[in-house]
Amino acid sequence: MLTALDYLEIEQLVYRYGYALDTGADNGFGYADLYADDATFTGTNQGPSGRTYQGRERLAALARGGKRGPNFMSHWVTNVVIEPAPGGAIGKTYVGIFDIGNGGNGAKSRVDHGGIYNDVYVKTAKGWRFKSRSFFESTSGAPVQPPPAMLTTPRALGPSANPDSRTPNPGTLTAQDYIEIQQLVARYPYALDQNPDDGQSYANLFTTDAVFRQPRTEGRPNLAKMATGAPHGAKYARHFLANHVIEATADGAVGKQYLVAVDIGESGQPSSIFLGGHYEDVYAKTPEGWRFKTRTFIASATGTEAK
Amino acid sequence: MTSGRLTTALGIAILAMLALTVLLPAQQRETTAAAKAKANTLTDLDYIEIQQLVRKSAWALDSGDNYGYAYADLFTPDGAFVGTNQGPEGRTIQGRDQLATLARGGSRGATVQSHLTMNHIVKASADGATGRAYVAIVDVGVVGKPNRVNHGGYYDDEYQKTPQGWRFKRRTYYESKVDVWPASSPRPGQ
Repeated sequence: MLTALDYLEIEQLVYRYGYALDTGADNGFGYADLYADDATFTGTNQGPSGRTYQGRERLAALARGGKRGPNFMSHWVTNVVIEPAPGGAIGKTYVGIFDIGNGGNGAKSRVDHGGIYNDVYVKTAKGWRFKSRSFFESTSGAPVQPPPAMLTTPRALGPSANPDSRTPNPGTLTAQDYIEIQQLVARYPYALDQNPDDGQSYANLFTTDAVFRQPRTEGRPNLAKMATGAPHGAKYARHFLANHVIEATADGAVGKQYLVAVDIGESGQPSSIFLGGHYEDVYAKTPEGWRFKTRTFIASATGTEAK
Repeated sequence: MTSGRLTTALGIAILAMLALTVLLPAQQRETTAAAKAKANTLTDLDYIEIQQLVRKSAWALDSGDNYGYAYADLFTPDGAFVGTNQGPEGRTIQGRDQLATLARGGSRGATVQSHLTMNHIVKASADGATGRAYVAIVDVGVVGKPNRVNHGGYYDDEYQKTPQGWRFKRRTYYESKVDVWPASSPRPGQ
Protein backbone atom coordinates (compact mmCIF):
# COMPACT_ATOMS: atom_id res chain seq x y z
CA MET A 1 0.00 0.00 0.00
CA LEU A 2 1.42 3.37 -0.99
CA THR A 3 0.43 6.66 0.61
CA ALA A 4 -0.04 9.88 -1.36
CA LEU A 5 3.39 10.96 -0.09
CA ASP A 6 4.97 7.72 -1.35
CA TYR A 7 3.59 8.44 -4.83
CA LEU A 8 4.92 12.00 -4.68
CA GLU A 9 8.36 10.95 -3.40
CA ILE A 10 8.72 8.28 -6.08
CA GLU A 11 7.69 10.84 -8.68
CA GLN A 12 10.37 13.20 -7.30
CA LEU A 13 12.98 10.43 -7.59
CA VAL A 14 11.97 9.86 -11.20
CA TYR A 15 12.25 13.60 -11.96
CA ARG A 16 15.65 13.96 -10.21
CA TYR A 17 16.98 11.34 -12.61
CA GLY A 18 16.99 13.77 -15.56
CA TYR A 19 19.00 16.41 -13.71
CA ALA A 20 21.51 13.92 -12.33
CA LEU A 21 22.17 12.33 -15.70
CA ASP A 22 22.25 15.53 -17.78
CA THR A 23 24.44 17.53 -15.40
CA GLY A 24 26.70 14.62 -14.42
CA ALA A 25 26.74 16.37 -11.03
CA ASP A 26 29.25 15.26 -8.44
CA ASN A 27 31.26 13.31 -11.03
CA GLY A 28 28.24 11.17 -11.78
CA PHE A 29 27.67 10.15 -8.16
CA GLY A 30 24.58 12.36 -8.02
CA TYR A 31 23.14 9.89 -10.52
CA ALA A 32 24.54 6.76 -8.86
CA ASP A 33 23.05 7.76 -5.51
CA LEU A 34 19.52 7.65 -6.90
CA TYR A 35 19.94 3.87 -6.92
CA ALA A 36 19.86 1.44 -4.00
CA ASP A 37 23.14 -0.32 -3.18
CA ASP A 38 22.79 -3.38 -5.41
CA ALA A 39 20.64 -1.71 -8.06
CA THR A 40 20.99 -1.90 -11.83
CA PHE A 41 20.44 0.18 -14.92
CA THR A 42 19.95 -1.69 -18.19
CA GLY A 43 20.12 -0.01 -21.57
CA THR A 44 18.32 -2.55 -23.74
CA ASN A 45 19.31 -0.40 -26.76
CA GLN A 46 23.06 -0.77 -26.09
CA GLY A 47 24.33 -3.54 -28.32
CA PRO A 48 22.42 -6.58 -29.53
CA SER A 49 21.59 -7.92 -26.08
CA GLY A 50 21.61 -4.71 -24.06
CA ARG A 51 24.00 -3.72 -21.30
CA THR A 52 23.56 -3.68 -17.53
CA TYR A 53 25.39 -1.41 -15.10
CA GLN A 54 25.54 -2.35 -11.43
CA GLY A 55 27.25 -0.72 -8.49
CA ARG A 56 27.83 2.87 -7.52
CA GLU A 57 31.12 3.32 -9.43
CA ARG A 58 29.78 1.91 -12.70
CA LEU A 59 26.59 3.94 -12.52
CA ALA A 60 28.57 7.11 -11.79
CA ALA A 61 30.87 6.37 -14.73
CA LEU A 62 27.80 6.01 -16.94
CA ALA A 63 26.49 9.43 -15.85
CA ARG A 64 29.77 11.25 -16.41
CA GLY A 65 30.41 9.56 -19.75
CA GLY A 66 27.68 11.25 -21.77
CA LYS A 67 26.87 14.73 -22.98
CA ARG A 68 26.58 16.90 -19.91
CA GLY A 69 26.87 20.33 -18.30
CA PRO A 70 25.41 22.10 -15.29
CA ASN A 71 22.70 23.64 -17.49
CA PHE A 72 22.20 20.79 -19.95
CA MET A 73 18.64 19.51 -20.31
CA SER A 74 18.16 16.34 -22.29
CA HIS A 75 16.08 13.67 -20.52
CA TRP A 76 12.42 14.77 -20.47
CA VAL A 77 10.41 12.40 -18.32
CA THR A 78 6.63 12.28 -18.16
CA ASN A 79 3.61 9.95 -17.98
CA VAL A 80 4.80 8.50 -14.66
CA VAL A 81 2.70 5.48 -13.67
CA ILE A 82 3.34 4.01 -10.21
CA GLU A 83 1.92 0.85 -8.64
CA PRO A 84 2.46 -0.80 -5.28
CA ALA A 85 4.37 -4.09 -5.49
CA PRO A 86 5.76 -6.57 -2.97
CA GLY A 87 8.76 -4.93 -1.27
CA GLY A 88 8.10 -1.48 -2.70
CA ALA A 89 6.72 -0.25 -5.97
CA ILE A 90 7.05 -0.60 -9.72
CA GLY A 91 6.57 2.04 -12.36
CA LYS A 92 7.09 3.15 -15.88
CA THR A 93 7.65 6.50 -17.57
CA TYR A 94 8.12 7.94 -21.03
CA VAL A 95 11.40 9.66 -21.78
CA GLY A 96 12.01 12.02 -24.66
CA ILE A 97 15.71 12.60 -25.27
CA PHE A 98 16.00 16.07 -26.77
CA ASP A 99 19.07 17.91 -27.99
CA ILE A 100 18.46 21.40 -26.70
CA GLY A 101 21.33 23.83 -26.53
CA ASN A 102 24.12 22.30 -28.54
CA GLY A 103 27.11 23.96 -26.95
CA GLY A 104 26.84 27.04 -29.12
CA ASN A 105 27.70 25.18 -32.31
CA GLY A 106 24.67 26.62 -34.05
CA ALA A 107 22.90 23.29 -34.47
CA LYS A 108 19.13 23.43 -34.10
CA SER A 109 17.31 21.98 -31.12
CA ARG A 110 15.62 18.72 -31.96
CA VAL A 111 14.15 15.51 -30.63
CA ASP A 112 16.98 12.96 -30.71
CA HIS A 113 15.27 9.76 -29.61
CA GLY A 114 13.19 8.35 -26.78
CA GLY A 115 11.31 5.48 -25.28
CA ILE A 116 10.18 4.01 -22.01
CA TYR A 117 11.74 3.27 -18.64
CA ASN A 118 10.54 0.32 -16.60
CA ASP A 119 11.39 0.68 -12.93
CA VAL A 120 11.42 -1.09 -9.60
CA TYR A 121 11.57 1.23 -6.57
CA VAL A 122 12.59 0.37 -3.03
CA LYS A 123 12.19 2.45 0.13
CA THR A 124 15.54 2.75 1.89
CA ALA A 125 16.59 4.57 5.07
CA LYS A 126 17.47 7.52 2.79
CA GLY A 127 14.16 7.52 0.95
CA TRP A 128 12.86 5.93 -2.24
CA ARG A 129 15.53 4.67 -4.66
CA PHE A 130 15.70 2.79 -7.95
CA LYS A 131 16.23 -0.92 -7.47
CA SER A 132 16.30 -1.42 -11.21
CA ARG A 133 15.66 0.72 -14.24
CA SER A 134 15.59 -0.49 -17.85
CA PHE A 135 15.38 1.66 -20.94
CA PHE A 136 13.51 0.50 -24.04
CA GLU A 137 13.86 2.47 -27.25
CA SER A 138 10.52 3.34 -28.85
CA THR A 139 9.68 1.36 -31.97
CA SER A 140 6.39 1.38 -33.80
CA GLY A 141 7.20 -1.88 -35.59
CA ALA A 142 5.08 -5.00 -35.59
CA PRO A 143 3.80 -5.71 -32.10
CA VAL A 144 6.38 -7.74 -30.19
CA GLN A 145 6.21 -9.66 -26.95
CA PRO A 146 6.93 -7.14 -24.22
CA PRO A 147 9.73 -7.94 -21.78
CA PRO A 148 8.58 -9.62 -18.57
CA ALA A 149 9.19 -6.55 -16.39
CA MET A 150 6.70 -4.50 -18.37
CA LEU A 151 3.31 -3.70 -16.89
CA THR A 152 1.39 -5.27 -19.73
CA THR A 153 -2.12 -5.18 -18.42
CA PRO A 154 -2.68 -1.99 -16.51
CA ARG A 155 -4.61 -3.01 -13.46
CA ALA A 156 -7.86 -1.31 -12.71
CA LEU A 157 -7.33 1.92 -10.84
CA GLY A 158 -8.75 0.59 -7.62
CA PRO A 159 -10.62 2.79 -5.22
CA SER A 160 -8.59 4.09 -2.30
CA ALA A 161 -8.03 1.62 0.53
CA ASN A 162 -9.05 4.28 3.00
CA PRO A 163 -12.45 5.68 2.03
CA ASP A 164 -12.21 8.31 4.78
CA SER A 165 -9.22 9.93 3.09
CA ARG A 166 -11.25 10.67 -0.02
CA THR A 167 -13.22 13.72 -0.93
CA PRO A 168 -14.85 14.79 2.32
CA ASN A 169 -17.32 17.13 0.64
CA PRO A 170 -18.18 18.27 -2.86
CA GLY A 171 -15.92 20.85 -4.42
CA THR A 172 -12.70 19.73 -2.76
CA LEU A 173 -10.16 17.07 -3.66
CA THR A 174 -7.90 15.18 -1.26
CA ALA A 175 -4.25 14.43 -1.97
CA GLN A 176 -5.35 10.89 -2.79
CA ASP A 177 -7.85 12.20 -5.37
CA TYR A 178 -5.15 14.31 -7.05
CA ILE A 179 -2.80 11.34 -7.20
CA GLU A 180 -5.47 9.04 -8.65
CA ILE A 181 -6.44 11.60 -11.32
CA GLN A 182 -2.75 12.13 -12.17
CA GLN A 183 -2.31 8.38 -12.46
CA LEU A 184 -5.41 8.08 -14.66
CA VAL A 185 -3.99 10.61 -17.10
CA ALA A 186 -0.49 9.07 -16.93
CA ARG A 187 -1.94 5.70 -17.98
CA TYR A 188 -3.64 7.11 -21.04
CA PRO A 189 -0.57 7.16 -23.35
CA TYR A 190 0.37 3.55 -22.53
CA ALA A 191 -3.13 2.30 -23.26
CA LEU A 192 -3.11 4.12 -26.60
CA ASP A 193 0.49 3.64 -27.79
CA GLN A 194 1.06 0.10 -26.56
CA ASN A 195 -2.54 -1.10 -26.60
CA PRO A 196 -1.85 -4.63 -25.34
CA ASP A 197 -5.50 -5.79 -25.39
CA ASP A 198 -7.45 -4.51 -28.41
CA GLY A 199 -8.23 -1.23 -26.75
CA GLN A 200 -9.72 -2.67 -23.54
CA SER A 201 -7.24 -0.87 -21.24
CA TYR A 202 -7.89 2.31 -23.17
CA ALA A 203 -11.69 2.05 -23.02
CA ASN A 204 -11.58 1.21 -19.31
CA LEU A 205 -10.02 4.59 -18.55
CA PHE A 206 -13.42 6.10 -19.44
CA THR A 207 -16.81 5.93 -17.75
CA THR A 208 -19.31 3.69 -19.54
CA ASP A 209 -21.15 6.75 -20.91
CA ALA A 210 -18.00 8.75 -21.74
CA VAL A 211 -17.54 10.89 -24.83
CA PHE A 212 -14.22 11.51 -26.60
CA ARG A 213 -13.80 14.24 -29.20
CA GLN A 214 -12.55 14.52 -31.98
CA PRO A 215 -13.71 12.36 -33.72
CA ARG A 216 -16.74 12.07 -31.44
CA THR A 217 -16.58 8.58 -29.95
CA GLU A 218 -19.04 7.36 -27.38
CA GLY A 219 -19.04 4.29 -25.17
CA ARG A 220 -16.33 1.78 -24.36
CA PRO A 221 -16.71 -0.53 -27.42
CA ASN A 222 -16.29 2.42 -29.79
CA LEU A 223 -13.39 3.83 -27.76
CA ALA A 224 -11.62 0.45 -27.90
CA LYS A 225 -12.14 0.35 -31.66
CA MET A 226 -10.77 3.89 -32.06
CA ALA A 227 -7.63 3.08 -30.00
CA THR A 228 -6.98 -0.05 -32.05
CA GLY A 229 -7.20 2.02 -35.23
CA ALA A 230 -4.29 4.19 -34.03
CA PRO A 231 -0.62 3.25 -34.50
CA HIS A 232 0.55 1.05 -31.64
CA GLY A 233 3.18 -1.46 -30.64
CA ALA A 234 4.42 -3.12 -27.48
CA LYS A 235 7.42 -0.75 -27.32
CA TYR A 236 5.87 2.32 -28.88
CA ALA A 237 5.99 5.74 -27.15
CA ARG A 238 4.32 8.62 -28.92
CA HIS A 239 2.00 10.64 -26.63
CA PHE A 240 3.94 12.88 -24.24
CA LEU A 241 1.66 14.67 -21.76
CA ALA A 242 2.72 17.64 -19.63
CA ASN A 243 1.39 20.51 -17.50
CA HIS A 244 -1.52 18.50 -16.06
CA VAL A 245 -3.73 20.88 -14.10
CA ILE A 246 -6.64 19.59 -11.97
CA GLU A 247 -9.53 21.48 -10.40
CA ALA A 248 -12.36 20.36 -8.14
CA THR A 249 -15.95 20.83 -9.29
CA ALA A 250 -19.26 20.31 -7.50
CA ASP A 251 -19.59 16.75 -8.82
CA GLY A 252 -16.02 15.66 -9.50
CA ALA A 253 -13.09 17.34 -11.19
CA VAL A 254 -11.96 18.90 -14.44
CA GLY A 255 -8.47 19.07 -15.84
CA LYS A 256 -6.35 19.79 -18.86
CA GLN A 257 -2.90 18.93 -20.11
CA TYR A 258 -0.56 19.55 -23.05
CA LEU A 259 0.13 16.87 -25.62
CA VAL A 260 3.02 16.56 -28.00
CA ALA A 261 2.91 13.48 -30.19
CA VAL A 262 6.54 12.69 -31.02
CA ASP A 263 7.49 10.43 -33.88
CA ILE A 264 10.69 8.93 -32.54
CA GLY A 265 13.02 8.34 -35.49
CA GLU A 266 13.50 4.70 -36.44
CA SER A 267 16.12 3.06 -38.68
CA GLY A 268 18.26 6.19 -38.66
CA GLN A 269 15.43 8.55 -39.59
CA PRO A 270 15.24 11.86 -37.70
CA SER A 271 12.64 12.28 -34.97
CA SER A 272 9.89 14.83 -35.43
CA ILE A 273 6.86 16.26 -33.67
CA PHE A 274 3.74 14.86 -35.29
CA LEU A 275 1.33 17.25 -33.60
CA GLY A 276 0.69 19.22 -30.45
CA GLY A 277 -2.24 20.64 -28.58
CA HIS A 278 -4.16 20.04 -25.42
CA TYR A 279 -6.79 17.86 -23.79
CA GLU A 280 -9.76 19.23 -21.83
CA ASP A 281 -11.13 16.63 -19.42
CA VAL A 282 -14.03 16.01 -17.09
CA TYR A 283 -13.31 13.32 -14.48
CA ALA A 284 -15.88 11.33 -12.54
CA LYS A 285 -15.34 9.21 -9.46
CA THR A 286 -16.88 5.79 -10.03
CA PRO A 287 -16.85 2.64 -7.89
CA GLU A 288 -13.86 1.57 -10.06
CA GLY A 289 -11.98 4.80 -9.29
CA TRP A 290 -11.55 8.07 -11.20
CA ARG A 291 -12.39 7.90 -14.90
CA PHE A 292 -12.64 10.22 -17.91
CA LYS A 293 -16.22 11.34 -18.41
CA THR A 294 -15.35 13.53 -21.37
CA ARG A 295 -12.01 14.11 -23.06
CA THR A 296 -11.61 16.63 -25.85
CA PHE A 297 -8.47 17.14 -27.91
CA ILE A 298 -7.85 20.60 -29.33
CA ALA A 299 -4.93 20.92 -31.73
CA SER A 300 -2.46 23.72 -31.23
CA ALA A 301 -2.82 26.51 -33.77
CA THR A 302 -0.42 29.39 -33.66
CA GLY A 303 -0.38 32.32 -36.01
CA THR A 304 3.26 33.07 -35.50
CA GLU A 305 6.25 31.35 -33.96
CA ALA A 306 6.39 31.07 -30.20
CA LYS A 307 8.94 33.26 -28.51
CA MET B 1 2.95 3.40 45.90
CA THR B 2 5.09 3.57 49.06
CA SER B 3 6.75 6.81 50.10
CA GLY B 4 10.17 5.16 49.59
CA ARG B 5 9.38 4.31 45.99
CA LEU B 6 7.94 7.77 45.48
CA THR B 7 11.15 9.35 46.75
CA THR B 8 13.21 7.14 44.43
CA ALA B 9 11.00 8.00 41.49
CA LEU B 10 11.19 11.71 42.30
CA GLY B 11 14.97 11.42 42.63
CA ILE B 12 15.26 9.83 39.19
CA ALA B 13 12.99 12.48 37.71
CA ILE B 14 15.04 15.28 39.22
CA LEU B 15 18.28 13.71 38.00
CA ALA B 16 16.83 13.32 34.54
CA MET B 17 15.76 16.97 34.51
CA LEU B 18 19.20 18.07 35.63
CA ALA B 19 20.82 15.94 32.94
CA LEU B 20 18.50 17.47 30.35
CA THR B 21 19.33 20.99 31.49
CA VAL B 22 23.02 20.29 31.08
CA LEU B 23 22.66 18.49 27.76
CA LEU B 24 20.07 20.63 26.05
CA PRO B 25 22.17 23.60 24.92
CA ALA B 26 24.73 21.37 23.20
CA GLN B 27 21.99 19.31 21.56
CA GLN B 28 20.18 22.43 20.46
CA ARG B 29 23.28 23.77 18.76
CA GLU B 30 23.72 20.53 16.87
CA THR B 31 20.14 20.12 15.78
CA THR B 32 19.13 23.69 14.95
CA ALA B 33 19.63 23.16 11.22
CA ALA B 34 17.94 19.77 11.23
CA ALA B 35 15.04 21.04 13.34
CA LYS B 36 14.56 24.01 11.03
CA ALA B 37 14.40 21.78 7.97
CA LYS B 38 12.07 19.43 9.83
CA ALA B 39 9.76 22.27 10.78
CA ASN B 40 9.39 23.00 7.07
CA THR B 41 8.63 19.56 5.72
CA LEU B 42 6.05 19.63 2.95
CA THR B 43 2.78 17.76 3.21
CA ASP B 44 1.37 15.77 0.31
CA LEU B 45 -1.00 18.64 -0.43
CA ASP B 46 1.90 21.15 -0.44
CA TYR B 47 3.66 19.05 -3.09
CA ILE B 48 0.49 18.83 -5.14
CA GLU B 49 -0.23 22.56 -4.91
CA ILE B 50 3.34 23.44 -5.92
CA GLN B 51 3.10 21.00 -8.84
CA GLN B 52 -0.15 22.65 -9.88
CA LEU B 53 1.41 26.12 -9.59
CA VAL B 54 4.23 25.23 -11.98
CA ARG B 55 1.86 23.57 -14.44
CA LYS B 56 -0.51 26.55 -14.35
CA SER B 57 2.37 28.91 -15.17
CA ALA B 58 2.84 27.21 -18.56
CA TRP B 59 -0.87 27.57 -19.33
CA ALA B 60 -0.96 31.20 -18.19
CA LEU B 61 2.11 32.14 -20.20
CA ASP B 62 0.98 30.50 -23.45
CA SER B 63 -2.64 31.65 -23.22
CA GLY B 64 -1.89 35.17 -22.01
CA ASP B 65 -5.19 34.86 -20.10
CA ASN B 66 -6.66 37.96 -18.45
CA TYR B 67 -4.27 40.26 -20.32
CA GLY B 68 -1.33 38.43 -18.82
CA TYR B 69 -2.52 38.85 -15.24
CA ALA B 70 -3.31 35.13 -14.94
CA TYR B 71 0.48 34.67 -15.13
CA ALA B 72 1.36 37.66 -12.95
CA ASP B 73 -0.98 36.47 -10.20
CA LEU B 74 0.97 33.23 -9.81
CA PHE B 75 3.74 35.37 -8.27
CA THR B 76 3.86 37.02 -4.83
CA PRO B 77 3.32 40.81 -5.01
CA ASP B 78 7.11 41.33 -4.92
CA GLY B 79 7.79 38.24 -7.02
CA ALA B 80 10.27 38.34 -9.89
CA PHE B 81 11.09 36.50 -13.08
CA VAL B 82 14.70 36.47 -14.24
CA GLY B 83 15.47 35.60 -17.85
CA THR B 84 19.20 34.88 -17.79
CA ASN B 85 19.10 34.43 -21.57
CA GLN B 86 17.79 37.96 -22.22
CA GLY B 87 20.80 40.08 -23.10
CA PRO B 88 24.33 39.67 -21.79
CA GLU B 89 23.38 40.49 -18.19
CA GLY B 90 19.99 38.81 -18.20
CA ARG B 91 16.80 40.67 -17.32
CA THR B 92 14.73 40.81 -14.14
CA ILE B 93 11.00 41.46 -14.35
CA GLN B 94 9.37 42.36 -11.05
CA GLY B 95 5.89 43.53 -10.16
CA ARG B 96 2.39 42.52 -11.24
CA ASP B 97 2.05 44.86 -14.24
CA GLN B 98 5.51 44.07 -15.53
CA LEU B 99 4.92 40.32 -15.30
CA ALA B 100 1.54 40.68 -17.03
CA THR B 101 3.19 42.63 -19.84
CA LEU B 102 5.68 39.81 -20.26
CA ALA B 103 2.89 37.21 -20.39
CA ARG B 104 0.81 38.99 -23.02
CA GLY B 105 3.77 39.66 -25.36
CA GLY B 106 4.56 37.29 -28.20
CA SER B 107 2.35 34.56 -29.57
CA ARG B 108 -0.51 33.93 -27.13
CA GLY B 109 -3.92 32.30 -27.16
CA ALA B 110 -6.08 29.42 -25.98
CA THR B 111 -4.69 27.13 -28.67
CA VAL B 112 -1.03 27.98 -28.10
CA GLN B 113 0.70 25.07 -26.37
CA SER B 114 4.36 25.86 -26.35
CA HIS B 115 5.94 25.57 -22.88
CA LEU B 116 6.25 21.91 -21.87
CA THR B 117 7.36 21.58 -18.27
CA MET B 118 8.56 18.22 -16.99
CA ASN B 119 10.91 16.76 -14.38
CA HIS B 120 9.57 19.03 -11.66
CA ILE B 121 11.47 18.50 -8.42
CA VAL B 122 10.41 20.18 -5.16
CA LYS B 123 12.29 20.58 -1.88
CA ALA B 124 11.37 22.13 1.45
CA SER B 125 13.45 25.18 2.36
CA ALA B 126 13.80 27.28 5.50
CA ASP B 127 11.00 29.67 4.48
CA GLY B 128 8.95 27.71 1.96
CA ALA B 129 10.14 25.54 -0.89
CA THR B 130 12.44 25.54 -3.87
CA GLY B 131 12.16 23.62 -7.10
CA ARG B 132 13.36 23.06 -10.62
CA ALA B 133 11.60 22.06 -13.80
CA TYR B 134 12.76 21.41 -17.34
CA VAL B 135 11.00 23.49 -19.97
CA ALA B 136 10.99 22.77 -23.70
CA ILE B 137 9.60 25.50 -25.91
CA VAL B 138 8.08 23.88 -28.99
CA ASP B 139 6.53 25.35 -32.11
CA VAL B 140 3.52 23.24 -33.00
CA GLY B 141 0.67 24.18 -35.26
CA VAL B 142 2.51 27.23 -36.56
CA VAL B 143 0.94 28.15 -39.89
CA GLY B 144 3.22 27.20 -42.77
CA LYS B 145 6.02 25.82 -40.59
CA PRO B 146 7.00 22.30 -39.62
CA ASN B 147 6.59 21.40 -35.93
CA ARG B 148 9.86 21.63 -34.06
CA VAL B 149 11.57 22.04 -30.73
CA ASN B 150 12.51 25.72 -30.64
CA HIS B 151 14.64 25.94 -27.52
CA GLY B 152 14.55 25.12 -23.83
CA GLY B 153 16.26 24.89 -20.50
CA TYR B 154 15.16 24.91 -16.91
CA TYR B 155 13.50 27.04 -14.25
CA ASP B 156 15.01 27.52 -10.83
CA ASP B 157 12.16 28.47 -8.49
CA GLU B 158 11.51 29.79 -5.01
CA TYR B 159 7.97 29.22 -3.74
CA GLN B 160 6.20 30.93 -0.87
CA LYS B 161 3.01 29.90 0.87
CA THR B 162 0.58 32.82 1.01
CA PRO B 163 -3.02 33.04 2.30
CA GLN B 164 -4.03 32.57 -1.36
CA GLY B 165 -1.91 29.45 -1.75
CA TRP B 166 1.60 28.71 -3.02
CA ARG B 167 3.13 31.39 -5.26
CA PHE B 168 6.42 32.06 -7.07
CA LYS B 169 8.69 34.36 -5.11
CA ARG B 170 11.39 34.14 -7.73
CA ARG B 171 11.71 32.19 -10.96
CA THR B 172 14.95 32.13 -12.93
CA TYR B 173 15.23 30.71 -16.42
CA TYR B 174 18.46 29.19 -17.70
CA GLU B 175 18.93 28.18 -21.32
CA SER B 176 20.15 24.62 -21.82
CA LYS B 177 23.81 24.36 -22.75
CA VAL B 178 26.15 21.44 -23.34
CA ASP B 179 29.61 21.77 -21.83
CA VAL B 180 30.91 18.26 -22.39
CA TRP B 181 30.13 16.42 -25.59
CA PRO B 182 32.13 13.20 -25.83
CA ALA B 183 33.46 12.30 -29.28
CA SER B 184 31.64 8.98 -29.02
CA SER B 185 28.27 10.74 -28.91
CA PRO B 186 26.97 11.68 -32.38
CA ARG B 187 26.13 15.33 -33.02
CA PRO B 188 22.94 16.45 -34.76
CA GLY B 189 23.22 16.09 -38.50
CA GLN B 190 25.85 13.37 -38.26
